[in-house]
Amino acid sequence: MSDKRLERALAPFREAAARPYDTVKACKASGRTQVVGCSPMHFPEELIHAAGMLPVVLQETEEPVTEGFAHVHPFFCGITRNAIDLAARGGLDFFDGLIYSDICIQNRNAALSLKHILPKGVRMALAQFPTVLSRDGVFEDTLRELGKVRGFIENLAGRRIEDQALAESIRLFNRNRGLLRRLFDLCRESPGRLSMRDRQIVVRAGMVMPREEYGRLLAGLATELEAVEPMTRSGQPLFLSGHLCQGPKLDIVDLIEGTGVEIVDDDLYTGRRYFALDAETDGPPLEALARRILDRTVPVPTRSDGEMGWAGYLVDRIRQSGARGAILLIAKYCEPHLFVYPFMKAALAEAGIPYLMLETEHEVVSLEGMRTRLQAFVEMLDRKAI
Amino acid sequence: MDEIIKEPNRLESVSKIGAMMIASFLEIKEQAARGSKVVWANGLPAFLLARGAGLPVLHAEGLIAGLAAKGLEKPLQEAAEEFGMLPDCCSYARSFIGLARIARGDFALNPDLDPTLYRMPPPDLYVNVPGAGCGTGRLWGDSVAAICGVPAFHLEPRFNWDESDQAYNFEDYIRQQKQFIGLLEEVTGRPYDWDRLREVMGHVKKAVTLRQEIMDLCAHKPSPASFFDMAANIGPVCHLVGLPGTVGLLDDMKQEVEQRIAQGVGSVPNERYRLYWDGIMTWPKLGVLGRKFASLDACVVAGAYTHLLFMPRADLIDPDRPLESIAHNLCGIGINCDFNGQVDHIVNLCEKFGIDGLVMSETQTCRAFNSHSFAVMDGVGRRLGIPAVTIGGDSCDERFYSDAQTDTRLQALVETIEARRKNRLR
Repeated sequence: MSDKRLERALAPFREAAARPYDTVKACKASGRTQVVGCSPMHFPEELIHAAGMLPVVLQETEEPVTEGFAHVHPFFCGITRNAIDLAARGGLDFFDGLIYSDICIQNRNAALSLKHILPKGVRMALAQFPTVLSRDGVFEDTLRELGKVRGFIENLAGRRIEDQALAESIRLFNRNRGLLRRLFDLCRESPGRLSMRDRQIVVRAGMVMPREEYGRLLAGLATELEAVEPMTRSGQPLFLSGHLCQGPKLDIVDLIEGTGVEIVDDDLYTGRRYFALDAETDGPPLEALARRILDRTVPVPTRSDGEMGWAGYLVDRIRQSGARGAILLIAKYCEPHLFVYPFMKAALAEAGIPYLMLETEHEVVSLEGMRTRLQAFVEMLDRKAI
Repeated sequence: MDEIIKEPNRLESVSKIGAMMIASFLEIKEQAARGSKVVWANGLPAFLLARGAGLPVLHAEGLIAGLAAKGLEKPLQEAAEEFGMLPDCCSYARSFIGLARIARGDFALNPDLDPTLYRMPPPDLYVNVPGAGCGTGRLWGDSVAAICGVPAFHLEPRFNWDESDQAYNFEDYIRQQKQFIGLLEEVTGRPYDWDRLREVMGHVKKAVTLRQEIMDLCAHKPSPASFFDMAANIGPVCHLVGLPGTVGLLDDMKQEVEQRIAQGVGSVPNERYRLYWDGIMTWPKLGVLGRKFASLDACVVAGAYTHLLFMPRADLIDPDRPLESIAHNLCGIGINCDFNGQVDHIVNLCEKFGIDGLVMSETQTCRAFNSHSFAVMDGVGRRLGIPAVTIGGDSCDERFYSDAQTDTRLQALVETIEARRKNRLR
């Protein structure tokens, strides 16, 4: 495949990811659809899609937080501050509805602030899916909450969400998730096929684009990439972990890749976490969504699973990927991540896996300090390899 | 500040609480030494339910706040930070994780330190009961449980997003309490003692009612006691509830307050401004802040932490219906409502206590207590026409406190109050 063909295949994803909300506004302006935002992580976008609306996973944008500080303290995480700031400046008024999930105290607080700030025309809901997976009746509770959210969406759309439509949406989302897995598997085999920056862009575009169009473009890209011969490894294979509910800044991804390493795999939210699991396609579709939400295959510290499961999972994933080290990206003030970090640190040390923890912020202050640390880490890996 | 430093009139009865708290923690050590299983918990209701099972409960916030108020919290935070905890995490949680590491023998205490309160018996069970269903409490509980190799139970009220949630959330909380009681039966290996729980709830009602009466007396001008007295007075409705001497202590306190009213003695010698405090107490600066406000002739009369938490609805406690009583006091409290609900609660407090201004203390590592700050400043300000300031702080990590910033902002607040008074007189 020529570079030009790859560039052509990537162009629509790059355009959508560079200005995510412009993409959404364009869809809305075309009169095709209402748009409903949802906060990241567990929310089943299929429910919004099945109501004939465009689901949009809220994105962290590049603007510095300014007017938002009239509503939020500076010691809240970046995505919270950014969402509140956008709302304060009218930047989220185009949504017809917004659904937040109670994934952590900051996310819930963002929902409360947005409810307070946004115009009444943007209708809001809070989905409270179970946070303790070992509790009795957790499946029934999830189903009840999904039913409640389904009612909210139906009300917004002015029409019922039929089971058949929901089943079709699940199939479409499963297809897209399957394509993303194929694409990431190709990159694990040969990371040179697609940089982590572009992998990030492809995933993020899928959070805002009309999903049918996205699926077609994704299928095209996967086919093109499959035609590429695996390339010879040129740098240290690394695993990228972290950022539970937002994508890392692309500047930072560039910085990491700029040291010559090859990112073979990840467990980022805007990476494997987003498309790791499908929903079942047989049986009642709402129950399938509930089972997907409760699936414990990919540990998430925002829900209690009776153990700090992410640390062991991370070690296993790094070993499976063939990476020689890991970079842990932690969004500053992200408590779910900060509480697990000591356990990760211990597990990685015990497994003999070198790692570098980098704390990231919404406003990228200075990349130079980070570059020095990255270079030192990579040099250490190089020496170890010798 | 240029002002002369003035000492507040602390309630004498409050000074007895510290010794009672220490005695109660030492009693837990003794019970553990006698072979009793021990529960560690954050939040209030875990106590009440675990006491019904005859299990001693080490209350996280009670122990940590007590240590921090004496400037003794640092070793716990060092133990957590050595493990990899970063200072941006909830400092209550961080300190308790440090305590767990010390209890497990994973962190060597400086031999110069008195280990009495740092070396507590490790838990057999951890219970997380966050006041507002705060997810950080869950992480805190899971961390301590993982360090100590014990189970964690999470008793979390669902959030009241709107009024339609309330009935289900109430029922859900009762269901969770029943599950917890089932776990307590497993841990103790005996049936749960409901009679004992009813007895405990009787003590709670008595203590909470007395404390409420004391706080209500502070509507008097000058206020006979301050928020700082009431912050120190949380123990009697929390860790000390139901223990010998607790009701007597509250009786003494009420008498002392009534006596002050009769004698016209205020908590602040020359009370000129009456303020509301939002956020958790900055425990390491309890004395410093008490003097600072007194020096400005300002009395902090009420606060959300003291007045809207810790079983604020004594009237809804029915000892014969313990689970419902607890649910009423957890699910419907201010911090578990949306901003409009929180503003309503605080407006009521301000009107009741004749508040002139709001001090919004940023409890910097507690996101649960900070989301509403600006909405409250705006909402209460609009409805009552009173000014507000934010000041930096944290529950138990003094690194987030700045004395100079606090001085400047408090000075600005009292000047604004003064200017508004003058404008009203014109």
